[in-house]
Amino acid sequence: MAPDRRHPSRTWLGTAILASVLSAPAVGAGPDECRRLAFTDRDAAADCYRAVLLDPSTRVEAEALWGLGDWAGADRAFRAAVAEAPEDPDIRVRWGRLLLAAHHDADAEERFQAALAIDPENIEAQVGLAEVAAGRFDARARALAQGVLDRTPAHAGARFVLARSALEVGEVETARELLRPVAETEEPEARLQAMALLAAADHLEGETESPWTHRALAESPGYGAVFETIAHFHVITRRYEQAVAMLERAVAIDPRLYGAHATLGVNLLRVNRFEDARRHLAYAWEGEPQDAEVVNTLRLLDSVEERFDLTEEDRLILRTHRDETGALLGYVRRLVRDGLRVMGERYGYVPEEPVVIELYPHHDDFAVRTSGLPGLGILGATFGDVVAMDSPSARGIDEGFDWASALWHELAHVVTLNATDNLVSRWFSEGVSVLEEWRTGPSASRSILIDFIEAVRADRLLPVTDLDRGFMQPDFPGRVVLSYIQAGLLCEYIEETRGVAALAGVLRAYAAGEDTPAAVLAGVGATPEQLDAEFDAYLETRFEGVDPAAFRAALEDATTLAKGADPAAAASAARAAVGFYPDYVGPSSPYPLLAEAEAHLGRMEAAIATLAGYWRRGGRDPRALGRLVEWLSAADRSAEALPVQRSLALVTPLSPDARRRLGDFLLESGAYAEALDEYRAHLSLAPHDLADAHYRVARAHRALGRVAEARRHVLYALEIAPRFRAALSLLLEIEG
Amino acid sequence: MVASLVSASAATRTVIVSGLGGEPRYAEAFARLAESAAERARTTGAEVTLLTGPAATAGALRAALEGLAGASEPADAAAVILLGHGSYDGETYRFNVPGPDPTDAELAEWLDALEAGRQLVVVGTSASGAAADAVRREGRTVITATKSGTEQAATVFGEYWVEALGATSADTDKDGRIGAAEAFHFAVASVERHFESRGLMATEHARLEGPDTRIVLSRLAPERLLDAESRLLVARRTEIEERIAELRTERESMDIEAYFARLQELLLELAVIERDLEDGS
Repeated sequence: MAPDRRHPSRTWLGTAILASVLSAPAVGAGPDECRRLAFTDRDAAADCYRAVLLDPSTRVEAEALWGLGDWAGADRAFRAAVAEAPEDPDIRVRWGRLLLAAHHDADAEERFQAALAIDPENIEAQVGLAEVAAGRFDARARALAQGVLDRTPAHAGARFVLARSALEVGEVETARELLRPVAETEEPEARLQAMALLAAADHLEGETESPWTHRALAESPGYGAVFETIAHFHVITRRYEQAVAMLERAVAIDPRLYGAHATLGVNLLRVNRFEDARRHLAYAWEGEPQDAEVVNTLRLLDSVEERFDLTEEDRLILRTHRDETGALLGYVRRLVRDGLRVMGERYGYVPEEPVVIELYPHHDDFAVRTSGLPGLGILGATFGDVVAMDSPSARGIDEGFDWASALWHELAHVVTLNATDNLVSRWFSEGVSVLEEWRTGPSASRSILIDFIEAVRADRLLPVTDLDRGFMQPDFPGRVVLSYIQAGLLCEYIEETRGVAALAGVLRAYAAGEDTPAAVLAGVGATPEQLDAEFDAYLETRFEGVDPAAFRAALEDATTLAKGADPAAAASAARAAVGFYPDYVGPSSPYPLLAEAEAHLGRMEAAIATLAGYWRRGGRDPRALGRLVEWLSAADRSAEALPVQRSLALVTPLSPDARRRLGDFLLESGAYAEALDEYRAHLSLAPHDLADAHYRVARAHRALGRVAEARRHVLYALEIAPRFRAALSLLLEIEG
Repeated sequence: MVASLVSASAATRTVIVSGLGGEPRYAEAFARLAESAAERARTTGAEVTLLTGPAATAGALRAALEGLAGASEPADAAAVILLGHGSYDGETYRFNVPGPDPTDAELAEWLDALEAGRQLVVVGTSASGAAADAVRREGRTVITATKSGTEQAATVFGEYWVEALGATSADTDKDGRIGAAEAFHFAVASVERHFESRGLMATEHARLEGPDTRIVLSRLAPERLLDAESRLLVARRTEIEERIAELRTERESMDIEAYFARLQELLLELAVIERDLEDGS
């Protein structure tokens, strides 16, 4: 993240403000003087802080300890200072800054809020809150900073928040206008910060040797933070290799820039350089052991080292928890192969490097892996060739997490990011990913949340040129989800009206460095405004006849009636809900309710048809699919049950029963190799009946003519259960 | 020794009780489970005492256990299975039945009169973990549906325990019989799936303590009457099973290929015997 959050020598506060905050030290210089020294002579600055420590004031002591890198001591001293002067908002603000520097954002926010409770007009507390919001990529950051700037137009901190916000969404000129006056200010910290941000602006426009970098380094040769700042915006725009290069320069000229080491470590992970990452993170931890992001990431690395398998193949590098590798490897391999082939054909690009897939059984590990990035959502994250996401055990399909579709979505990002050297805009990359989930993905659902349809009717969508903001700086909690769907539908509309070649054309334009208006014009042949107008009309048609209120009411009725004793009434309500919105197969879909009611009424054919329709539309609730398989099997329709069981096993790959059952269907249908894969996966999940699991593997081997493997597994089965008759028979069969 | 299950024959006696359900539908469900468990126990030839509904009082349970104590000898096996609701007030576990509820101490006292050398006590109720300390004895297998008295929500363990008694997939050693450990592991796996598939946090965690008493709780297929030739085959089968068991203990010290070669040799003979037994039936 931003370099200026870690150390008082790199805060955005000017000395004038600090002077008002801090009482004069009894001996020698004050903390602000020490801070100035840090730009030219680090050792002298440390001596200065040590001298300041003699000051009896706890608030000064806190500043000095912070300056000396004793975070915990500074935290204690600020706590004591607040206890001594509970009505002083400025101490709370400085304490908040310390916490913000250590990534304890929630605690920092609390301190800023407490300061504002004492003094609602406290400018620095408002700026602090704006920075907290900016760190979360929350659109409120701009409003808070603008509020400060309206009252104090020269405030450097507020300008920085606004400039950063502008740079995050590519508004480079706006940022420059905000920063230029600060770059000429008398205050060295603020001046250097402004130069660093101006250098970042140049980099965002492809100017890799910015004059602002040289100017900053000429003024302060050890100012590695200039590269750290540039790196931040490379990260924001997903150019991780470039970010790593910048961060390496940052720590080369300032090895004690622990924050840069930390950020470098995190970004080295994103380019799959685990060993280098560990080295820099460990160094960062030595310097700043309080940094939560560093501690969490090092813990994650320990966990990966101890409990994860690394599978390396030509097209795939997979990191999976040991307990899950056997069950997931085959599916991941197939999804990667198919995904890259299908999307490669559609978009004319296939990544050359193997794709790295990391699947985390604990969501917290995934969260650590993706921390510090804007609007990533919660399904997965792609860093160029590296995809990190929750494994199916972290969250289930019941929570709306269809892991295979999520992986497909991320693979589309691998294509769009690599095809454009990460120059693709956020909305387009997400749009293509969502479209591919719907169009070519393993579930191929076009089920749109009813909330989106309501948003369309309420005119809450963003114009295409502003759609990036929906991901990066959402203006309300549901905006990110709406933006995903909007981007997906926009790409769907482009494909439906102009063909997939138009989407490939947009991608090529981004690869050539065009911005969104130019890329849209080049690929779609329309201006953004024309596209927005066409899209509005398309949405009206697409959702024509969908009545959200009536759907919700009918679904509620159906859900209530399903618990009662009148299946005819339940069927009627569920059928009405289906009629109001037939495409909806997401969580709490009415289809399973209708099928169960029909089954209660003895109308099994209708019940099967209902669930089959649900499944074909992309419905993937495991209970519903299990029911459909059961009914189809009972009706002696195994051939129809097989593809449904495939879907069920794919959405619940860690369910031993689902994998075994699919193996049985496949073996019965003569697909022996696939059956073997399923039985092996079943065996890897340590099923309750281990002898039976080995026996099934042996049967599949036997069917494939692999006698030695069949013999070995039947012996494994009989070693556990010597009286296992079916296995004994198979042994006799094998041995002739 | 072969760790096979010991057939109940006439020397296994089983007491099965379903307690109060709080609501009629629960009481009926518990009674149905108890009846199923009794039916499965009878497939082993065990003597079964079944107490359900209003008959399942503390007095009746005490009398049944006294009867069991009077009839059993050290060579015998005894199984006591309690299904339904239980409660725990922080000090005392109570099995909820019509009339006064028997406490863990009372259950322990009544069970202590049993002389059967192999004993199995299953307390498949809510809060049943609280009863474990009281009923635990050397040589007795104790199974409870919960790990402690604080797990007080209605349990599903009993339902899956009874399902195990008739499930081929519970028969993990494939000998056609379901023992306590097999039923327990099947039920535990099923309980886990039950909560996972509903997206719920598990409110019960079953425990098994004590030795494997190898008491047969259910036969999946009826026992056949054997002719003289078949009896010889069965004797040979037992002999081979003993050899396999011995061989398994030597697995770690043997060359693995030699181990499997020897195992295969024994298993092939076993396979032929099983086929002959099957053909002769």
